[in-house]
Amino acid sequence: MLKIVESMCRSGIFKPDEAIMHKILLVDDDPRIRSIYKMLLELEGFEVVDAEDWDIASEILLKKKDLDLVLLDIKMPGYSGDVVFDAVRLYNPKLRVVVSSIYPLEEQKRLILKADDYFDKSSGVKTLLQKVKRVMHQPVSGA
Amino acid sequence: MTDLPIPKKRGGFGSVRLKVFVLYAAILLATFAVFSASVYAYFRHEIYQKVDALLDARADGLNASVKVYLTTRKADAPSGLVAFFSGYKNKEGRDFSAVADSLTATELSTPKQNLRMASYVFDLNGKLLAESGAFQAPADLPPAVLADVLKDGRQVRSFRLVNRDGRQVHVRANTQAVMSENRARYIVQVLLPLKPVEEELVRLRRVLILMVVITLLVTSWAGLYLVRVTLRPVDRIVRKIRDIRSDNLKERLYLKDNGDEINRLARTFNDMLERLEKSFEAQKQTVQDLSHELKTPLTILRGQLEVALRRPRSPEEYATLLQASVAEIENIRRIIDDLLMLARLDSSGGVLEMKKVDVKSLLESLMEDAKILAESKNISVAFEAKGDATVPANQIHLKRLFMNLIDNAVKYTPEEGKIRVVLEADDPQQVRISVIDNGGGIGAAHLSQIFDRFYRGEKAHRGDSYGLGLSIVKSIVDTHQGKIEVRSNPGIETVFLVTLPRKRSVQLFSQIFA
Repeated sequence: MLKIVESMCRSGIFKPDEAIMHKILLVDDDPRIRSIYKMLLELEGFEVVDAEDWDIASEILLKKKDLDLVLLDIKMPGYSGDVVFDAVRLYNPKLRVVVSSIYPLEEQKRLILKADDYFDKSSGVKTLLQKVKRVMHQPVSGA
Repeated sequence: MTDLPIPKKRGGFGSVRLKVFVLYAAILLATFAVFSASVYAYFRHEIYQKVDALLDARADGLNASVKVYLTTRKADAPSGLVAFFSGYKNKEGRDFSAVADSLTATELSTPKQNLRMASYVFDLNGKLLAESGAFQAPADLPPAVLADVLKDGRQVRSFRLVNRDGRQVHVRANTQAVMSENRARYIVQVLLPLKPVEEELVRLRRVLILMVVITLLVTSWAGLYLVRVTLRPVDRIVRKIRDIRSDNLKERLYLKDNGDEINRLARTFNDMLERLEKSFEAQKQTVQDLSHELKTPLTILRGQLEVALRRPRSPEEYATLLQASVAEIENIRRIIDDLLMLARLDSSGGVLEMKKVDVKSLLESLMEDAKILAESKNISVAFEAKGDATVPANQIHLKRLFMNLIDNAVKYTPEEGKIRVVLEADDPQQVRISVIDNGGGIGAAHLSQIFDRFYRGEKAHRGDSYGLGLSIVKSIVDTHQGKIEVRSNPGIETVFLVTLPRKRSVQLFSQIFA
């Protein structure tokens, strides 16, 4: 099923709106979510690296220093969201972080205080794209 | 949250306080009444004995003096007797009453003017011969008294008489026959008006009643105070409990360390609050988890549809998309169904329709479905029955229990793995069923949580599972009064062991509400 959606997306005509390829790390433990978001962001001209859990994500964070943004699911088995967020900032203070979760926004803001933006996954992919693009144009808040 | 109708009384008489007070006052009143009545009866008896002794002494004296007359004068005629007394009066210058008084003067302990006794002498027909005293009795002796005295020699009684100036007087009389040579010759009578005695008794009654009332008031007040002091902690508890709502269940009653009844009451309330709080928390958590759990498939559904809508698609593409959407909706439906089932199991409180279920044939019938389930991952499913057994159970729920366990095993077992279902029926009390897989096992850290609602182990794949399956297993085992254990040997195998009793035990209230 996901393959079909992927092919549908790839056949669409989307032009990268950025001259430079921004790099995004997508951390989410749901494979369907990862697949949909990856397709979407890649079609928008972003370079997307994905990780299904924090162990893989932290490895990527340590190796790849040229990342611009992390789309971070804060509800993953085994780790609490605020610890993961703090670790991301510790590994790479220049990184923009958009918290992504199925929690309502107020709850996300209560859990994680200083993210660049917050995204409720159920509010749709258009909102995600808007938020990612806006944060890319902002200076890094965590630095 | 609506307010429960609670009586608004605070400082006034609570019904317990009123009851205790009324009972206390009634007991006090009864005790005082019996005590005072005894005191009164005793004094009354004493006074009448003294009166009788006095009358006796005076009558005896009069009797003796008439006898003296008989032996000295040998005269018998009534006129002679009058003459005797008259002569006496003449000789000493005193009248008859003075003679009588002088005869009994030594016996009198009370001042004479208070007693105002009267003395009479009658002949054998009851005709008055001589009299003395402060008040005037009727002239002749009543025939009934006369008959009694002639028969028994003496009579002591109280009665009312109307004296000559028409006033009614309550008196006590001692009437005697004067005996000489073995026959009655005259009759003497001494009367004492009982008015002073009765007045004395009335005074005593008044004093006693006053004392009872005062004592009752004082002790009642003290009793009321005691009751209030005793019940004050209860008032405090009531006020506190009234303030507790679903949003401040963390509040607890203050406990002293004295272990008295009221403290035990408070402790019990605190325990109840503890349980309520936990149950509220669990409910809240479940609702939160549920909303997240439902949002995930909705998010995916929305993402797929939004991506697809970015441009026109071919009918084939739409068909695939719609099929995928239906699958996602099916996911949502299953979550809701499972939650409804859990809610039903929770609220049934163990009251399900139970029948004798043959465990062996039930498990055999499940194997078909289990094999279909395991086929996709090339997992083999085997059933071993060591014995045959029936347990009281709800067939549908029991099927669900083992299907969920097998389903869980299939999810966590890698391709080409092995699942074994083993029935052991050698214990006369219980039946043991194990579901064993050779998957990776479960880390010790997760073992304690796997039955929690929406809990997902590290290796679970999103989309396949949503953490309700094992919660349902646990709830079904609980309603069947059974037990479930998980043993895991990480990297080798995981064993889910279900123990079901062969007989249901009657649940105690304390267990239901524990």
